[in-house]
Amino acid sequence: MEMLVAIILTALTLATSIYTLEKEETQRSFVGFFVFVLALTFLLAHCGLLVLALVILSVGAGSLLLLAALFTFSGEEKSRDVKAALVAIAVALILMYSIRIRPLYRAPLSLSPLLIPFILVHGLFIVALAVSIRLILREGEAE
Amino acid sequence: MNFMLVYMYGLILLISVGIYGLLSKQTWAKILISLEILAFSTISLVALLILGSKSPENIALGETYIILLTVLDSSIMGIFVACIFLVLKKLKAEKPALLKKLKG
Repeated sequence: MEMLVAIILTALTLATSIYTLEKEETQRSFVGFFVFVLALTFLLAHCGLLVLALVILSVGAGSLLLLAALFTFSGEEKSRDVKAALVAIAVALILMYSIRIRPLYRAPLSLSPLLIPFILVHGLFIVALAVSIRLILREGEAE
Repeated sequence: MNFMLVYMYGLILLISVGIYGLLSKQTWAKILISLEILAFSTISLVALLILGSKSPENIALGETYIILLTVLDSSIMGIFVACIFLVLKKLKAEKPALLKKLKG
């Protein structure tokens, strides 16, 4: 059963990431990115890394804010880069070979309450970046 | 075959998808999405490789990973906004491909 869940979650994560990058309509691409973040969150939660999963969810949601601010620059081109695909396949093959090395020890992932303000500050930083992009855009339009 | 191994191979494929997006896409939004995919999958893969679920120790290592993820994400976004600012101010253009014309 666990193997089936693992295969489904991995396939969903991969499919949504490719959909996000290859979809020409930007709005659907953003929706795809959100589904990708959710799938990755479930994937990590299934592995027992719950805190890391929640942090990835919050960081991914923050990225969506910046993506929304970047919407003006999102006119999509239609391109398939063969060289980029070959480089990506080569990197995947090398990493797949290296994963055969076993880890020396295993330990759980936990979070101290002291880190919560840090994550909140990160959220504020993203909001500030989104506002600054808007200001840059407004200034550019005025010129 | 352990199900964790399926996740690890999946995350490796995700890293390659991120690299592909980074090399082939030409818009700010897609480049940012590629960077996010790359950062998330790399951190998750390393966390899966090092951390597991057997012993109740090494909380500090987990916290280090979370700090690393947040700092990495903040850095990506900060550099990204700086690039947009440079392209808009210096080149008066919106295309990321024009970054290569910057000197110094």
